[in-house]
Amino acid sequence: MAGELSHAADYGYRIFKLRHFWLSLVRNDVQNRYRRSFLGIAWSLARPLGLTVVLTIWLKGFSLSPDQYVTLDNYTPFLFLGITLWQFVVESMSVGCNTFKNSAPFIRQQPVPLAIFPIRTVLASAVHAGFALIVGFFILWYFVGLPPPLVWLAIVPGFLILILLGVALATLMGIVHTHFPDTQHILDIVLQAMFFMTPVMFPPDNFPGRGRFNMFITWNPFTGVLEAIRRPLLTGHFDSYDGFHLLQAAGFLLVVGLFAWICLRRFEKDLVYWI
Amino acid sequence: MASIDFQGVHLSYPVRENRGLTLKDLILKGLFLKPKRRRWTQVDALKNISFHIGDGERVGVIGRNGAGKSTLLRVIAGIYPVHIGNRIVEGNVCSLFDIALGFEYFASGWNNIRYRGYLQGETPRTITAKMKEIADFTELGDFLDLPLNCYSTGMIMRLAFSIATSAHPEILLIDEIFSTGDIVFQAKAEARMREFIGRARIVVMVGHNLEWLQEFCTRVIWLQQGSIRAEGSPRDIIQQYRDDGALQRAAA
Repeated sequence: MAGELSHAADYGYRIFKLRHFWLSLVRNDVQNRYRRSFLGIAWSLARPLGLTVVLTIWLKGFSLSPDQYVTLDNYTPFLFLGITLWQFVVESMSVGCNTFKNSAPFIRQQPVPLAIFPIRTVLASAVHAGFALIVGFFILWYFVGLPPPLVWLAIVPGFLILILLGVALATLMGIVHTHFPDTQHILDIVLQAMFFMTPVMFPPDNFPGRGRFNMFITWNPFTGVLEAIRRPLLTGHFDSYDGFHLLQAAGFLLVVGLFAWICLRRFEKDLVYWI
Repeated sequence: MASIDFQGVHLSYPVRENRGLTLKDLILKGLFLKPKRRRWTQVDALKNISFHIGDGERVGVIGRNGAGKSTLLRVIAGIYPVHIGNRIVEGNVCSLFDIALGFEYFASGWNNIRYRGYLQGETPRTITAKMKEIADFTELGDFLDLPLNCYSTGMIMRLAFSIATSAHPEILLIDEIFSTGDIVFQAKAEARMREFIGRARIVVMVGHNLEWLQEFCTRVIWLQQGSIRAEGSPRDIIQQYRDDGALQRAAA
């Protein structure tokens, strides 16, 4: 156990020593994303904005149950924030599939702690999601008003968990996809299905046909991750239910993170032969 | 004191045939469908490799294509893990393998100098101090402001070579990088290479330029099909290798 901890600490230190390398690549990735497009950042916001507009109009007549926190008034920011956060999770996993393959030239040149590649991928997605979230906060302010400062503080752990979860998922997907090349296709299908089974579009307390899926929706680990950030922003306070979501998210991160670490330890040395 | 110690190192690695095992195949195989052929082949790349390289040595590794020379360098560098045998390497290692790879093609020459420098362990302060000297050696001038996808192969090689030879390694591993570059640059590069090699405590180089190896190396190892066929003074081993080559051509 002590040996494992000291290995983890040493691994973390090696990642820290290479921080200039992967941070500069994150900056490079962000610049690349916006460089060649005339409208730049606006294009990458088009999807969540477009989806929000379409769904808001389409769901205008949608009956929202009175005893839960989402109403017709705050549905637009609810949707936009949900889509943006979900998009980050999807990107982390989907782009994460190729993170090691795309870095093959680096991996074959010198031994580096391979975790720096999913970290690079996810941080670039996080910057992109950050831009979208800023727009989301403007939408929130317009429709509902901004929550008090303490609530902003309360959602910081949620954001940290989200980013670390992204790194863990990207690492796992990267390892699996490098070994099984069809993983990304299967993942895209699974995530598409998950989009309808996670309270991104619908509030967690008001799913159509909820009866059968009730347990799944409540205990869907992604529900905790989303709601721990979104619900306090919309309600303007942080209560025990938000605490439950945060705990759920932290538990999910612990399980996924541990699994990702175990897989990394076991397969990191063999990855160079698979790419 | 730098040193490289190999004791009974065997290396066997998996190579993926065609498209590789898919998740779908794995699931179906578990049910009732057996795959028609194996997707992974094991390659025995290195067999029972033992040697000691001490401080001050310059070792050349020669052999036919596929003998395991590049694999050996990568094992020394720590890129390929060792499961059988012992590999003990003391000193910081700098590898010059495929130096034209690992660039960000949409980034400028200047930014790529930074990225490669950071990968080699530089910090923003140390790389800034070296940037001008690296840039001057490339003679790329204003091209350094442009993204790398505007460069020719030769220009990329100049940039790669210049960045790679700005490091100060204790152990230097070189895998056949002297093959490109125009004639003027080659003369310049040779001088810089000599100076760069001179700074390292141990050099292990793989190449097919036997004259260069004979001049530079203090020892030569001849690899054949993953094993050490012979090792000793450059003149003797290179002569044996040449004789063997002539014999093979006569027999063919």
